[in-house]
Amino acid sequence: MPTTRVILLLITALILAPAGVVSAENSTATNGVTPAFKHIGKLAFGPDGVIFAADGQDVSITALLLGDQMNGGVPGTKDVQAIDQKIASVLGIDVAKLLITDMVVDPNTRNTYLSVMRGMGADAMPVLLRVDGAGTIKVISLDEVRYSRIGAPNPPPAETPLVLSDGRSIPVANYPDQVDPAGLIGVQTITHMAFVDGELYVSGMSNEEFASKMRVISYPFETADEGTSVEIYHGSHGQLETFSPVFTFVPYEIDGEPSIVASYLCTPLVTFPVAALKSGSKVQGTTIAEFGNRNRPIDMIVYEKNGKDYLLMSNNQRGVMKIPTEPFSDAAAIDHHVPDTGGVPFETIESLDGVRQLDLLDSSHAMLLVELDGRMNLQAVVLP
Amino acid sequence: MLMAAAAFAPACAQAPETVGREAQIRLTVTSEGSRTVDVEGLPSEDLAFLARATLSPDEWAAILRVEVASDEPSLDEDEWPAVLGVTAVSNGVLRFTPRFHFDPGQRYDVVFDPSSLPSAHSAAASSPLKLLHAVVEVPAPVHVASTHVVEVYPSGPEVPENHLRLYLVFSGPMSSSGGGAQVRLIDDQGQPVPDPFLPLELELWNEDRTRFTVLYDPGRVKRGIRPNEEMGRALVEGRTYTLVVGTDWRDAAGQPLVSEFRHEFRVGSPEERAIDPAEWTLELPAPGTRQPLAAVFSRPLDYGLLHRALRVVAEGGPLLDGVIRVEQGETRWVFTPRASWQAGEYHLVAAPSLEDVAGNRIGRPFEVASSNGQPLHGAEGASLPFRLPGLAGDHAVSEEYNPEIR
Repeated sequence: MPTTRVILLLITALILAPAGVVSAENSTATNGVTPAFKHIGKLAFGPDGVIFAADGQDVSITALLLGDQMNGGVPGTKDVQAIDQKIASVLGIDVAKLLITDMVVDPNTRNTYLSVMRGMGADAMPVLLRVDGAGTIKVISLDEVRYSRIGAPNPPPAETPLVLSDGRSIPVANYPDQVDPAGLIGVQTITHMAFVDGELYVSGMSNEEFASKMRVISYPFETADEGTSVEIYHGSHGQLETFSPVFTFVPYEIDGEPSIVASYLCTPLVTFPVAALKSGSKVQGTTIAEFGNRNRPIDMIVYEKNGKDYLLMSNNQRGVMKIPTEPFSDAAAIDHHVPDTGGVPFETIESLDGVRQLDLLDSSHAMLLVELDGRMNLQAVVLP
Repeated sequence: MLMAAAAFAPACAQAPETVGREAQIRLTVTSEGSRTVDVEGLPSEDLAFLARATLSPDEWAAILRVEVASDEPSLDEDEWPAVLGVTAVSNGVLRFTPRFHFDPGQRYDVVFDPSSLPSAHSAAASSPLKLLHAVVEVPAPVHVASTHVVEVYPSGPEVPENHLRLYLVFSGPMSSSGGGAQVRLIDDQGQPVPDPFLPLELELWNEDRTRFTVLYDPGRVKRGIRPNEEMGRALVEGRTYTLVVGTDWRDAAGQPLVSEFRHEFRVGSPEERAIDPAEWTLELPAPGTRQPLAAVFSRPLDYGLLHRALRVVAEGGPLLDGVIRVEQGETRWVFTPRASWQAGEYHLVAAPSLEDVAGNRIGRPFEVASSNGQPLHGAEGASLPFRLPGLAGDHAVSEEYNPEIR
């Protein structure tokens, strides 16, 4: 067998082809009734009567047209102590076999929705629940519920055209399905979703790549190709730039410009304009704050108090932070080393400890899922 | 307390005898194979009353209540909610059908309270029904621990100091019970390395939950950012570490791992350069055979990505179908085609997503010098052309392969 060192001739690639060139698998929305989930993870509210639910195993997003099922509960959400144990009781399992994957508040009824996995093993079942103003825990039946599902929003397109130096293009499969008998295709996990003005923004994290991907998908779903998939970079302290997965984000207008305020794994707060989210573009985010060591953001909400906007962010290590957004518009990018935390000012809300999920309940309250003494409590607090 | 025996026989096809028989709670298997909780032996007047009744879920639960048995007292004045299900008269019994199947191995408290039923107030009843309480349990299938860690990737003896990601491969599907805490790193003094890995609530698995991705804390890996400056990298060049996976990580059947897994490795200098495919070497097959094509790399590449980011394309043709093997500490990629190689031009093509174990890509290192707001230079794909000469006798063929430069 001859062995040789091959001279590398051609190294030009289009990383992201323009929409229409690429034929992505699962790119067309499927519609039907009675959706089945393998896994239920992140949730987001869409237009009236729609809730988006991400399937982390199937890597799809399903718009559930719950319609009137969203009504009928007592408006609001009553605090429920040991909500995890009570959900486990309703579902007929020990609480140790329950995994709460997300919590969101319906902006219309102010009822709280929780996505959970019932069981840990091969027989684990996804369940969507609602808690209303009387504290009643209701399993949302998906029987006969109309849905629209779009698949694989985060993986790269099925093929990447590799453009050779002589202008020819070779399609390269990113997810070859014929030569992958071991099922080792990379799986993407959806880390956050938010719906604004007809667009669903989705961030994800891969089990094989560290790059950050955000996708913008128009709703009603048509094809995934109509969205964009961009890699987002951010400066890290001066000399180096890197990529990192986005964990949570909020759409927010900064100086009248629709923007995304995103929290990353290790350089938490970054802003970039929505207009930059164009197919094939690489977005350079501006790092405006850093929030400490071994800290991972969980959720963010924006609220108004006394005429000023604030960001409330829950973290797995550093509690809940209140961040005035006023300085965002002229915040200087962090381009130098900061000794502890740096960038825009923030305040840690000491009274809020163990917050695992966070959403806006109404104009003056946040809904929290708080871990305390090994139990999860559903609890509303006055916005700080 | 009455312990109801778990009954496995299908429910009786006809109504059970009700006269002269004590009411009792039984766990039953229906003809459809699902398990229900039945109250048998009820007087016919009660069954008739219940069959006609239109009751709310709470009112049904006041008569027949199934709860997860718990030693935990409720925190507040509320009792634990009843298990969700439907109660109805069926085949001469009062039947509770759970919305979700009873969990094998889980005990359930069942209370039947007949105080609101007609027979409780009937003068004709010779012996009024009593409140019944039973604990029922669907036996858990007998499992023995059988799953173990098969391999860790990178599998080689050395990783760079800025190692970013490793994979644990299990012999069978695992649960989602949060086993990441079972992964520990021990240094060459036998001391645990504090906080080497990224704590993630979500878990990164492959589709069949046999491969788990572990990320080193990127804040410590990346140069110049605070976690790195405060704690340094978890791995230090020149030292030896042992990756330990504890047994208390449940597989899909809820069983612990068979044995602890240990993997010792050395730490070399950080790898901060982009992948350069010009450093790769190809071992070419003979045309007319199904001999493997091998690519040998100058450093270990990411095990997961090697299975999908490297492909062989025939000149002007489609991707070649074949089987990929990754060998020698992920420094060697071997492709065996399904069909014999034909003489001609080929490309070994690397997708832009290919990374090494430190997250470096082709044309773009994991960390690059600041571009001061200019568009960043992204990762690139690569194409390595090679030619398999025609079979001997077709035309003059050199013994030595020489890559053609175009």
